[in-house]
Amino acid sequence: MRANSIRFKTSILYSIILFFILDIFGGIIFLSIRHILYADFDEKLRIKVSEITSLLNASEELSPARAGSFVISRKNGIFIEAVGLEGKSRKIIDNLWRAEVEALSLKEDYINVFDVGRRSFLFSSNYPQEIGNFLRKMFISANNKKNYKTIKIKKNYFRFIESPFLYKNSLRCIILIGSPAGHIEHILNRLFLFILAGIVCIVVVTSFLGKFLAYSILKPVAEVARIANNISHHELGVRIPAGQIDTEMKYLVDSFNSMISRLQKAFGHINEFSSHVAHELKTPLAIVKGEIELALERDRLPDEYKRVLRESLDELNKIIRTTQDLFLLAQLDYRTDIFKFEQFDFIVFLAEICEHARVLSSTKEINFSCGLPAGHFIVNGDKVHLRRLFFNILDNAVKFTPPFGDIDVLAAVNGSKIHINISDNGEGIPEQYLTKIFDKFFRVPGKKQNDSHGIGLGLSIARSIALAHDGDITANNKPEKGCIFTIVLPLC
Amino acid sequence: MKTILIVDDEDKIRNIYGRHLEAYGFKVLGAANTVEAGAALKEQPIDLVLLDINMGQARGDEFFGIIALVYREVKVIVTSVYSVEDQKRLIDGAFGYHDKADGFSKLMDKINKSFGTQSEECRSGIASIKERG
Repeated sequence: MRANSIRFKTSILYSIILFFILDIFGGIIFLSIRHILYADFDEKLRIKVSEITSLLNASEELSPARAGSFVISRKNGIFIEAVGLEGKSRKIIDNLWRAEVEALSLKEDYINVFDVGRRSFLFSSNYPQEIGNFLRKMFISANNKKNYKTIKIKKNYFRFIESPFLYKNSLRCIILIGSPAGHIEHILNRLFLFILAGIVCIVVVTSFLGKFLAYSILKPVAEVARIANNISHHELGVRIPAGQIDTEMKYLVDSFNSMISRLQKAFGHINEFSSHVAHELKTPLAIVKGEIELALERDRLPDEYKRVLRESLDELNKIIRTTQDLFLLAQLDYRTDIFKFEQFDFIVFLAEICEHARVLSSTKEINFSCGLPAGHFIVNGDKVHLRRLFFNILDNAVKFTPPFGDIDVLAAVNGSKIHINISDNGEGIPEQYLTKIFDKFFRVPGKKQNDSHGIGLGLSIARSIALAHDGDITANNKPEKGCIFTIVLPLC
Repeated sequence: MKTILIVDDEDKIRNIYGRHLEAYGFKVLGAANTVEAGAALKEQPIDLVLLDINMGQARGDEFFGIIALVYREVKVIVTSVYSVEDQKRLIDGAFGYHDKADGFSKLMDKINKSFGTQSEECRSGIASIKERG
């Protein structure tokens, strides 16, 4: 599996995200359990503090003014350093202490009571003195609040509570009680290891599962790639089978198949277009070659050579015009930057075209009429190309209108658009070809193209120009006779 | 005299080929589409058809099927601006294939081949051309 593959990245990302989620989840579980365990433990510590507080209260009541001197007594392994008590008072404290030691099971606990000068005056003897010194540095915050800490002392864990002792609202001493908490830490350590091992195992296992999951998800993609790699322009009929695959993959496969269909169609158009181009260019070349071969077969009169040269020149001009038209069409369809748009009075522009068309029509003594609306209507367009559009239509109209026939140009504004109808009374166009006449190289069957320029590109060019101006062009037959071309252009 | 029918929608091609072939002594008939070609085949015996493929709406490849079925003795040389490979792909079984851009002399070789060796008309035609030339 390559490091830059989607499968690898998916597996890694999946593992990292899972690791973080499990970490957070494990941490919450660990801390919750720790909190529960210590809450119970701390409650017991608080009870002990409370009892010792009672003891200290009793001591204060008995000898409020004897601070500074000490009496040491050993009871059940715990030293009591009580403030200089004598006789009955001392006995009372002794009894109280003994009762507390028995009731609270304090034998294992570390107990230390400091006065405000940080001198220890009551402490348990079951731990070395240096521990007392160490703890004294860590605690005695004197902030009048209970503090809890878990400290490891010589490989053993202790949970400490530090609690201030107030007598008549005055801080008299600080009680520090530590209980062995090894069992809790042992549980927590085991829990920590269990969670850690669990996370590692889950991440490792799921990363492998993720890898296989990614593989199975991406398998159709690999299949798409395999088929795509095998498709050449000769085999555009190949499709990816969309059988038992997921919806998302089906969408991908459908999109890919649809793209291949469009490519196939585009290739078909290119083939057809190339075939037309070859036909339109090779036919005049064949004529030129044939004429020259014929002329060279034997000696001819000068006039015959002139005729051959004229014919050849006509055919060469036809080739040149065809290539120019093809180039223009390619530009119109794919290079919109060739248009130089400007705003101009369209009625003035159309009137000028009509005047030229009138001259053109006069060669066949055609009645030409031009009806334009009054007023100024502005069009944003390229005059050069729009002129080409109208002359292509008008040329056709003149070509297919019989002598003494009629050609009418009629413009009308309809909302934000101007409609220009160019009608003639020629033969019209068979209904089935009304939309096809705008296709490249299409020529209506049976219609003679007397002039050499009729190669079926004129109307394609006209349509491309109309579309580039956000307009349109359509053709219809008139009920009586002839056809009518309608050009629609948007007004500013 | 051998009769050759030129089926091509391009007037100039029919005209040039016609003048060439007449110079070689053949009787030449022209048809601008398959309807005219069908009528010509019905009316008189034709020895060879020079058949264009793309004639606007008329398709030479479809018309070849009719010739192959109905006028089996008539030989057909496909003459088109398509490449010879494309011609063979479109029409299978013609006697010969000719790319119009290759010129008339190559077409003439194929016509001679279709008549076995050089036909009598062809030989006399060549002789007369040589005499005049």
